[in-house]
Amino acid sequence: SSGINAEYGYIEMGNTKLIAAVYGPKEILRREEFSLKGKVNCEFKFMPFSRAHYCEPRQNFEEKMISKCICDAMEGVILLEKFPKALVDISVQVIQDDGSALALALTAASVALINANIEVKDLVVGTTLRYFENSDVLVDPTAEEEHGPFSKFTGGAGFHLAVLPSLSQISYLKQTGKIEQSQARDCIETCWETCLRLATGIKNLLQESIDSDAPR
Amino acid sequence: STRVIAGIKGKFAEPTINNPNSGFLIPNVILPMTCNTKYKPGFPSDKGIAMSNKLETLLTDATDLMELCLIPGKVAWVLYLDVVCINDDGNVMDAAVLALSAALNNTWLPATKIIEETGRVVLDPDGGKKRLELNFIPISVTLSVFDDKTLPDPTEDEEDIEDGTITCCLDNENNIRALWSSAIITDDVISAALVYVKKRASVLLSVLKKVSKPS
Repeated sequence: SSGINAEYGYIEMGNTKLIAAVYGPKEILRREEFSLKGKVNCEFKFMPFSRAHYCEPRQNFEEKMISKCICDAMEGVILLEKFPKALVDISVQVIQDDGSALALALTAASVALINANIEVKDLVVGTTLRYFENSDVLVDPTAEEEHGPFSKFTGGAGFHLAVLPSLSQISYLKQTGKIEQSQARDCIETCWETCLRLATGIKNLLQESIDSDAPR
Repeated sequence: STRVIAGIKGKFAEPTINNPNSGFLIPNVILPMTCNTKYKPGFPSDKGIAMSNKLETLLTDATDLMELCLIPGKVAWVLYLDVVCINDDGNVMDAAVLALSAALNNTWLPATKIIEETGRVVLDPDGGKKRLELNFIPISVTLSVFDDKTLPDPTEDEEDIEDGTITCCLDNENNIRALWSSAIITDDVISAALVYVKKRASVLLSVLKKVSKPS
């Protein structure tokens, strides 16, 4: 509202809802060393009522870690050389968490960046996968399926993958748990396919919104 | 286009020594960077803390805190009343109070039972739910002050250039629950403002009643 570039991306998948906001590029006010590349700052937060348990207003370790993940992934995708000495602020707030928050945060942040006309190499699409020892595979698990220490969904491995669909590159990959190499490759492929499907959908939406905003 | 979300989470806690028969209501207003370009990253923002304090005074008698006590001196409900602003286009206070009132009006506390052997309190899945009893429903109406004129429901741009703010909180029986004024004004201005506040509060109250769930 005051000439500062601010844009949003809102995502709902199943019961997980989150909003990503992007501000910038804006001038770095502190007199730091001159940098030929722009900087990215990311803040990820679960709203206090978003998960089954109460989340403290201060960022805890998990949220700081996820903030760093989003930051790293976005740094790889934004053309930082285009705005030296400037800062892009990304803020992701999770309104309701029913699993797969990190992957959705990456996707939402990337959509927000595109809406904000910040030059990026490509869209980022994230997805999560849970693999179980009996070869069951769950893509985009719910909160119970993803974390559930008290449910039947224990053991196996978890994958978080973020993909740059047009460039066919992986922007972010994290694997937890135990899994055999061959099965790991299959899991990554499944994630990849899911991301590509999501990417077509997201690109259509972005195209529609650009078309509807275009002057007549 | 101001948007806020209010959510209520309950936890067990030990009552304070001074009030061993009381539960707690803890309001908290969060204004993250997402909602406005003016806010810097990192909690908490001064505006948020100020609003949280106002909500605390407003809600002092909102519900019978003794009802929230489960084992006197040992275990009581603490209700975290969180309001997160998604977009700040002015007048977050009114939005926050409305959202919080709607949330409080729709709060159902699960039944609890005490385990004989350990004396601990746990949730009773067969016990059903009990609605949180509110003594009153607060509604807030804010006006900006410019010299001696008032402008209701300011937007962010109007807030930036205002001389001061009058915030008045009524309850569902038109009693004044709280009144804050940060402007230099005369008696007449306040009286005129209160007339408007009464009208506006009944409009907001009807909106709240529409979203109230019967069970």
